[in-house]
Amino acid sequence: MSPELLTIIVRGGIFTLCLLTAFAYLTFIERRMLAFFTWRVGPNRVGPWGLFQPVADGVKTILKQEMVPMKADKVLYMMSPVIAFAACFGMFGLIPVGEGVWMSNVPVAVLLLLGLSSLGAYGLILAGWSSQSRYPFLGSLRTCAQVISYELALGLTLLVPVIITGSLSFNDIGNIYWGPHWNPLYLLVLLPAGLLFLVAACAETGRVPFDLPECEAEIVAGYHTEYSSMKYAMFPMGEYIAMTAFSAIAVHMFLGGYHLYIPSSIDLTQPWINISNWVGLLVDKIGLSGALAPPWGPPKWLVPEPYWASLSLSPAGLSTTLTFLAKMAILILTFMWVRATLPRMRYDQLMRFGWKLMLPVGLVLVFLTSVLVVFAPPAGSEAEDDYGSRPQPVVEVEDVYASR
Amino acid sequence: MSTLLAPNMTVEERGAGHIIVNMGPQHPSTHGVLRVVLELDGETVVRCVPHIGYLHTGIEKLSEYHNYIKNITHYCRMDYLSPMNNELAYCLAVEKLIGGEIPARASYIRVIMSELTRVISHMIWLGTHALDMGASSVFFYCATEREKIIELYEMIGGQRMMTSYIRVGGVKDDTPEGFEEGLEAWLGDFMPFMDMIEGLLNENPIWKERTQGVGVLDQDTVISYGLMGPLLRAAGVPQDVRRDEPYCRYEEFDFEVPVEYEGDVYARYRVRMRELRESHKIVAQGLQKLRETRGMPVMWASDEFAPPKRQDIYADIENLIHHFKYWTEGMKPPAGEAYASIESSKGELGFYVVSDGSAKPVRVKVRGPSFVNLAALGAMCEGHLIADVVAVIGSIDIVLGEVDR
Repeated sequence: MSPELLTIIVRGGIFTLCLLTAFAYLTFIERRMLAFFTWRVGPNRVGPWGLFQPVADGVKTILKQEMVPMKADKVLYMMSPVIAFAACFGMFGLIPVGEGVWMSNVPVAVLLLLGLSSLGAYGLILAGWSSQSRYPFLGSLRTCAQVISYELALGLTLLVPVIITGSLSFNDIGNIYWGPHWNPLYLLVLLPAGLLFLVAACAETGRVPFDLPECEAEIVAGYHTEYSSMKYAMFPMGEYIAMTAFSAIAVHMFLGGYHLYIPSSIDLTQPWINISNWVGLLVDKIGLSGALAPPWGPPKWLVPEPYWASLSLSPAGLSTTLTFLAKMAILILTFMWVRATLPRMRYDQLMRFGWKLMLPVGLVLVFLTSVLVVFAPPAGSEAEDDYGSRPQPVVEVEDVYASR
Repeated sequence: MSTLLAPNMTVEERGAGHIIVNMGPQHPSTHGVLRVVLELDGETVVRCVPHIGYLHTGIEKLSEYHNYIKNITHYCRMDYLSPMNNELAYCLAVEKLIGGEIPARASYIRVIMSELTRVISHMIWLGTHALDMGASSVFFYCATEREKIIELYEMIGGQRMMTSYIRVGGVKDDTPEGFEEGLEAWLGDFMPFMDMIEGLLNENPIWKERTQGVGVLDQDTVISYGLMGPLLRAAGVPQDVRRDEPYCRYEEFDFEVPVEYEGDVYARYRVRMRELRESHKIVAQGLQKLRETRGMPVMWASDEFAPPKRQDIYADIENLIHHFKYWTEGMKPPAGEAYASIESSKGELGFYVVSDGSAKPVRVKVRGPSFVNLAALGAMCEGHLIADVVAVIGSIDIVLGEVDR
């Protein structure tokens, strides 16, 4: 087994662990946030400040009795939570969270992500279909229609930064975003595209005000009405992970990725100062030495030399990861805030909103971006700029494949 | 309705391509155990038939087996979200049967309590209505606000919900110490709260889209169904028992009857919100009158139809015997019949009491607004979407305890 492959596997394990914990604590944070918005206390009984609540919930869910409807299509019924869950989980395999901190750096990550998010919808649709029950059936119909309508707008908004940067890899988009290719005119399209993306992501992940597929006031629990125990838990799990993933995508696409730049002056055309590596700057200031000196990683006697480099974390990696997580947290908290505030839309209004507003606006934005890129090309590049002259990806992905 | 909808109907019985969905009796947004059977074409409701009787408590029948005083305890359990309204309507009917003057202070307390009751009932209505529409926070805000009044309830009646505070001939006790201050504190809190809620919902585009043009009933339909309360006033019929046939000295209070003309869910919402502000106005006036009548009696002066004072029971044997007979045998109103109605939070709540001169009524018939208003559910829902059924049920503001009684 090549070191690279092993690295991917080990990193995958670490990512999975982190994500599962993140999901558990996202439910906790969401409950605490909602409680805060509604003048309540929220879960505070299990452990200090209720911190063990997710653990208790997990144990409870696993121990619940499992019931399968008699008439259900057993194979699809068992499969669909797995599909929904795996697709959402897989999304994170494509998203870099910091410099050098990723599972895979795929050149067409954006396309794959869209594919995975559509695949996740299959899980939900099949879940409702295979339950052989009326409310889940209605729920899956709604999911079907909703995902199709909003995926279009979602894809179009993602095209805006893709056209500007000319790349489908998150690392490139993040790297070029505020770089020398920056042109403040892009804000004209990027800002509305970002807002549109957030709305579409809300709909795609089925959160308020677009939580129609599972809205409990109308169709009980939608597609997962007939699910119980762990199979049920996999749906909300997938949903939370999808919410996290879409926040991550939004950060990469519209918030400058894991970089942290501050403007050198009020004038937006002036270069930005890169302080992405703030941990590194701190380390330099303090002057860590010996065992504490970066890069940080597992003990050297545990991990052989060829693997160590890819499993360790440099100050740059750490600071970018933290920056990325902070940006993501802001978006996730926004999602929670929206959930606490807004009523739910009606099915036909949702469709109208998607097809008659989101889609045309998305198309117009894509058109405007194309015009902008031609007439106001990225600063520092030639007017007849083609994709070949764009900055190359930071990491040579080809190496990974070559060594197999 | 020629054929009732059943989930196991064959394709011939229902329309081709239609499915029959059972909404309730266990459903998150049918506000209790209402069962609505829907025939759906996709998401569109073709037919909608409400089935009731899942919370039948037999309260009307029970009334014939208990004496007039004990009966009061049943009625607060009928519409359990506005307990004092029910007590009040029943007591007014019995008082009509007996005849007699209710002391002013008792009337003022009754007015205050029935307005507060309207507020707590509307709080639950607004909270659940908003929750059905997905605005979950509003529910908690309303519950918090309701709690303040529930505490006043506890202060004055000793219980949070089933108070049995309003009695034939007046009220059970005078207001306790601290009640006026509590009322004043609530009066101060309530308007900012209303501003906040209306700021959240009134101009909220999603809220308006969900409610405007949904479940529309025009004036004629509303009148032909005999609908009352906010549903009637939202369709442009300015009718309010408090103003048209004043009881409990409502004529001494200055208030408006809010009317809207669209007849949709949003108009009902606006009517109720404006009603809440009117209630606040009435309670503020009531508090003033309460202060003016401090120390005056709260129960009518009657040997036969009022319980003796506690200090008298300990003083002499006649009062002790009277006390004993009053509570065990009950009072015996003259034979006859009487109907009294009030404007409860959900519409006109009427009690029709028939007496044969004994201590137990021969018949107590309740005209429950929830029951009457529910009849129009089908007319409001057909042709709309499932989501609108939920909005309409919320806008009717039903309490199944009163529908089934």
